[in-house]
Amino acid sequence: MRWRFIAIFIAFSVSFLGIWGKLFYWQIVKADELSSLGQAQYANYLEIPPIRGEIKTSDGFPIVTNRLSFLVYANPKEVKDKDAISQILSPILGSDISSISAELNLDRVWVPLQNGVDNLTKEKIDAMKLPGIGFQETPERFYPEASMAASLLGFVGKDNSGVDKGYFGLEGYYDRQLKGRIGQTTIVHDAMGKPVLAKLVQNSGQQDGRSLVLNIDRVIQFLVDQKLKKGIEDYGAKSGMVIVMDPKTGNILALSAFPTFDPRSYWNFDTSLYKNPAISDIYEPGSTFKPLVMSIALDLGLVSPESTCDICEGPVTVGDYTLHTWNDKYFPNTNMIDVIQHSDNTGMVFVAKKIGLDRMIAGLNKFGIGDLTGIDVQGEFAPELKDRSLWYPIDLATAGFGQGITVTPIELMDAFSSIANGGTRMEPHIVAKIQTPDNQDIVINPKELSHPISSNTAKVMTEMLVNAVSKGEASFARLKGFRVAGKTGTASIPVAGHYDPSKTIASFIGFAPADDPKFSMLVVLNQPSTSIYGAETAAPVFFDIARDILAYYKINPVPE
Amino acid sequence: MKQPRKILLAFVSTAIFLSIVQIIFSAAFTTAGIDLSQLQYEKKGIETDNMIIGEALYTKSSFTTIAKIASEEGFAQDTKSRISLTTTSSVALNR
Repeated sequence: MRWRFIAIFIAFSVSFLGIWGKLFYWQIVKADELSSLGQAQYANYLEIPPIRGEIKTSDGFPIVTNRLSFLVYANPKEVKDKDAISQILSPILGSDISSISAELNLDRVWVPLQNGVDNLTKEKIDAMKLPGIGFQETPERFYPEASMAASLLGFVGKDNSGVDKGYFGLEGYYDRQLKGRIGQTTIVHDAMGKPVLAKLVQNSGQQDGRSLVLNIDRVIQFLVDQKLKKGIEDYGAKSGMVIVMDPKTGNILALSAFPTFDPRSYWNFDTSLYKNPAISDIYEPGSTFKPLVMSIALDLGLVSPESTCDICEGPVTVGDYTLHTWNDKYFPNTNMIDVIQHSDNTGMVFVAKKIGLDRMIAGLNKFGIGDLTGIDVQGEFAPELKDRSLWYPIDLATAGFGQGITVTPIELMDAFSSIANGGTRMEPHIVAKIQTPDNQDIVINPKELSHPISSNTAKVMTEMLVNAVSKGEASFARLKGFRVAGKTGTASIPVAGHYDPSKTIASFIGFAPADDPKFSMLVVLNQPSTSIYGAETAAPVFFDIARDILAYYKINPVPE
Repeated sequence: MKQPRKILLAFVSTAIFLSIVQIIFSAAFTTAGIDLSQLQYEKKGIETDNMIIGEALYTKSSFTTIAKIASEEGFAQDTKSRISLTTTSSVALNR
């Protein structure tokens, strides 16, 4: 009997040891692996994409927002009659039957059929209850004002990882603010795959993007777009651009450029159109540069409005070069007021020589020429002023009337606007405030950049520019009843080392009302074909826009 | 032997009582979960409707759309004449 007890004892002991060993193996040795398998079975980790922020004009209207769109996908293993499904979906999705059929015949559990499908189409397909067909929400960028201010806005494309990313313009500059942060959530589900709602874990880290509220005035932007497009057509120009700015704050009220692209289908346009010419194209400004040079001379006390030019009786020779006026008309002993009124190149050579090279470079630096303005748009470029050692006498002379020196339109606009702002140069700014998803506002305040001239000089220069508008070559287009300060520009374009007289950049720069400026504006037309002169092309466009802006601001004309 | 019977009865009663409590609470959670699910579904639907309405509203109120409709309705693109009144002027009298 004793051996039976021993045998049973040994048998039970071996059994228990076996069970303990197995338990140890599964619960200790294989713990991590089984835990992962279990979690994979009952828990899903889902990425929660953020909603990209909107871009709104100053009136709160979103010119860039998001809309609902869907990706239609299929599980080929659940689609029984692939040919029938392809024939049904083809006219609805606008895809070839063969393309859809090719996807459905792949040996996969998930294939994309069509992206960017709107809600109506999605509901139409959903109502058909087609087996194996599903939908995934994919918010899509939406532009209610179509391609308004496209070169200012930029567009949203994909980066190397397939994630949305802003390129160019505001979408590029403010991409980090707009895109938000991807979050993650855990969903626990039962054996049937249904979520166990009591076990929902709150998402962690997801944050929607911030929205931008711009200084851009939608009314002014719209009318500038319309007038510029018409101006380019009327005057046969290759391209054009307009900047409208509040000189007292640096707020950009409108910025338009044509030709442009459609951000909804940017891939269909030449990549050269993506950049904003107002901030990245360089050109020789011509006579629109004269107010800056004259201001430098006035501010230094080197000339006064009544000073007379003693070299203005004919063309001026500088080294091997002979410099003429634009119309070969000369006014001996002309004063500085008339130099600006007649846009007299020889008079400006006189002024430039008075200033001298060192003071010219210093003065232009104070006006910000050669530096980035700091405007909050991606892609700004600023051609540097030549080093002092590389300036020749002819360079100083031609700089006096804006040739041989290059600027971007925004650089010139910003510098010129300091005349309208009592001599203070402001940083140009597109965005007025950034709105967080919980409706907190981060306001961007105006910023002073420099004081290139005194307020007295600014007043004197303003009067000279008002006189230029009322009596100069663009006087035929001026607005009666309004005091507008401005200057025409007709700059020859350098081609292969010389200037082509038939190709010009025609421009007009100005501000109004002269006594209390509400806006300053630069109009640039590239190679107008009806006339090469700014007075006959850019100036009428300027005054056409200015008339509407003044009416919009309810500023009435006064009897003359 | 009465003592072990009492202890056994206490254990069994406790087990039955706790099971009933668990069933009641589980049922309540499930019901609340279904309600929550329904609310979330409705919320999602309203959010979708809002997005669709927003898209339609922004499109219809955009200057681009209004200008296109105005052009189709025969409104003039531009006018060269402007009339400004610098003093008040009566345009109608209330008799």
